[in-house]
Amino acid sequence: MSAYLFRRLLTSLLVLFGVSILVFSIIHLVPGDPVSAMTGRQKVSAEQAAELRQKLGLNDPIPVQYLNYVSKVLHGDLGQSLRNKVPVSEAIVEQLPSTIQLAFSALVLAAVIGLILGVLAATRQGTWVDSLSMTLSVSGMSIPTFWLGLLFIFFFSVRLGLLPSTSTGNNLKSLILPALTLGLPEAAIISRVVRASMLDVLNKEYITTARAKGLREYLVVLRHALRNALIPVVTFIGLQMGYLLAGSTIVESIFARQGIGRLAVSAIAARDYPMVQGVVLVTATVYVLINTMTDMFYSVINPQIRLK
Amino acid sequence: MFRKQAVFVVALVIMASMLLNACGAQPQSTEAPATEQIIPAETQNPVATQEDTGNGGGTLSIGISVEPETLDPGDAVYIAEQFVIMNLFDTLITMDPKGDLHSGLATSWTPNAEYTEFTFDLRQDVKFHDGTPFNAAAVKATFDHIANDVDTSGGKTMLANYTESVVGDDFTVTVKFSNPYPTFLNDVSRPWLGISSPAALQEYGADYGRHPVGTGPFIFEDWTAQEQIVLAKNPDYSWGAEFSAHQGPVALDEIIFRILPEAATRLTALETGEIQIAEEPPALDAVALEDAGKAVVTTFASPGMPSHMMINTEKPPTDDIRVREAMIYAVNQEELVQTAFNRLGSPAHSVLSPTTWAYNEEAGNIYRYDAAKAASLLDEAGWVDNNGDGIREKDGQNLTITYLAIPAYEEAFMELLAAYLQQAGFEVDIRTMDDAGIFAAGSAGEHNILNMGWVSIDPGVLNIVYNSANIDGGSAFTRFVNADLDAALNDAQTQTDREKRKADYMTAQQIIMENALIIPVHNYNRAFIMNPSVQGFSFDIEGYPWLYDITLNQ
Repeated sequence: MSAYLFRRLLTSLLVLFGVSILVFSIIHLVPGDPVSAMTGRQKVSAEQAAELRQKLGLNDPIPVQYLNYVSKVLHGDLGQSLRNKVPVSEAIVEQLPSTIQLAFSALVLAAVIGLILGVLAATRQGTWVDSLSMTLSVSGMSIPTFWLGLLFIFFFSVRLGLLPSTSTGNNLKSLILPALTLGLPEAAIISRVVRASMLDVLNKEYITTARAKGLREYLVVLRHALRNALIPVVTFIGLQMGYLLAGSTIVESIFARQGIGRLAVSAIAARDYPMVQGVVLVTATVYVLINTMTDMFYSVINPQIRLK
Repeated sequence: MFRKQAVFVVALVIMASMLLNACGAQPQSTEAPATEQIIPAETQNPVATQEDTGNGGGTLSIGISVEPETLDPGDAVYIAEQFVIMNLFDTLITMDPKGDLHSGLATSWTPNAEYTEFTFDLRQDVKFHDGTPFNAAAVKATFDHIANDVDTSGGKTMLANYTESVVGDDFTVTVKFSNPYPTFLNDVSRPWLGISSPAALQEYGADYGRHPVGTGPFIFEDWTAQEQIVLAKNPDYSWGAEFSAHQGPVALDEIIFRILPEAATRLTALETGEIQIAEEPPALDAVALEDAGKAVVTTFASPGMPSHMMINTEKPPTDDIRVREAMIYAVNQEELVQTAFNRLGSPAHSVLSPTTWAYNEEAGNIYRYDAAKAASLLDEAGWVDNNGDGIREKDGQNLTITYLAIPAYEEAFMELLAAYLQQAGFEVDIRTMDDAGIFAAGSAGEHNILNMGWVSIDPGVLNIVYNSANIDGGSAFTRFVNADLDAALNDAQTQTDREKRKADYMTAQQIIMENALIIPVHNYNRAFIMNPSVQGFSFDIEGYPWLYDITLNQ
């Protein structure tokens, strides 16, 4: 196990390095730099602009800039925002809880709804229940997140006045619509995976045996079938965290929620390089961690899998 | 089986979307009966919570589109920052909406003959929010801070030639410059030069931008990043501008600036009562809401340079003046503005807006929409459509225009503008980018047209954008060199005689328009939509909301 962990750690670090190089190159390839973003339509004389560039270290060749950045990161310093000098790590730590709250709630919602729909569809395969579930699932996957969010706002906030259209503070009411917006399309996908996995398991011989023994149907489904069917589903859900973290950007913008998604968007527009790199690095780290945990969990619940 | 499922799917999706859309549709004006009273949104929707102290007080929530990056007035440069800062800080001199100067933190002022030294006599009864007294040392500390600690900002640009401030006695200070600065007394009334508490500047250092301490009618309470900024009433405030509708502390208990970057979100938040004022709503929806009696829209015709397209005079085909003139004649500003902004916009016909001091009316009347004239000018220049594809050619080349566009500022009209040009026979290649990208591409001269505009009470902004000294590395994107234009702009920069300065700017406008350097598009109308319970809203001279006199009535 420890050898496995060590190997995973190594590959994770490689992945993170790769991600940082990629994002560093991309953002430097985009036209414009932080100084032109800062000045934009304001006045800054040519000398002032040159001075600023020098001060921000933008005149060094790109590999040099990258190496400076990496050495700082390895000391735990993600740099300062080019816009307002706030330490990047501080800004991220401030915004991260809101994103995690959103992604986690969406995940729980998606898992619960997806499971129920998927199990229903699988156990009543071929009936109208199955058709309805799968229809809902296809619709859910096809509906764009922002459209769903806006529709929810119009319906629940403007028309019915039940829930707020923007997120303030840390309350449950502000979380419901954003979590639904992010979670429902995810639930749709999960339901399909659950259904497929359940169908696969329900056709196995040990299920027939359990029924033959006289076990009641719901126990057959819940105790025998579901447990085994969940194995690939759990892996799948873990991998979907990536989608949720990405989707949170859109949801945060629609509902004006705090979060690192919005932070990244405004940082990109301002060419705030350290902030963009910091957010991407943190997101990549979270993603890599979750994947590793999912893999390990998978080996725990399925004794047939040995981590190598 | 598959066919049955497919039909089912399609039918369900259609029904579901119709249902949701019908429920979510905006109320049409025909829904509101003619006799319906104007109902404040917050009584319709119990979601909104609003404390009401019964005498016009309470919490005012304002939805703004961009988050400030700092609340240090000396380090600030953006519209959003000025909006918030105006309420936290006072300036030495105040300017009423007509442009006349009144006492502020200073009771009187005297410039020297060359306009290089300005002596101010200060009020003696003012306190900062942290309890420390306002005095000459505070003025010196503030201006020194801007000159020494700040990289770029609105205030830094104003104090470009600042040398020092000399404290006479506790309440007299002389501010000195190395070059004549005839507009300083006007500039010192802008929030960029608001006075900060020296104790706070000292205590917070580089972090001061997140802990602003001034003398204004509101006190800074809290700033939750990407969410909101909260200000509370200053109960000791008794030194407000004499032209305000009331004196003394404000009626409101609290202001919350909610940061809502999406225009649609700002509008829905207003409808649900979560905010009472929204900045820059989407024009067509705002008008619909006002027509339905649910809100009030207030606009302000901003002075300065209106939104216009700068034409690159170096790059073909726009290096030919006839082509440039044809472009101007090809665009119907009246129609464009009505389509894009409804009644919230007004067409522009010159390089300055009509509400700007030194506006040249004659220059603004040179061009009006005339499709026939555009056609004949292009024919004359040798651009003819030979192959009937709607695009004119000359010497085997299409009449192609590269249009570098920033959707954030131009999305309302960029397609319309391109359509007018296409009607005249141009082929328009729109390339979208953002602020940072445009500066880089514009400096390299990649454009034939790109958008410019600058809200300012002073026409001096013309110098930044039309002086040929600013072509390299600056914002002079027309790349036009003309000795007379440069002479007029340079003279205006240091001219102390108001009439001569006005004449310089009149000349500049004439030269710019005669040489067809720009396609005017629309004047900036700052638009705010608010709940009818908001009373006492007004604009200052630059079009920033003046919140001091606001009361909330139920």
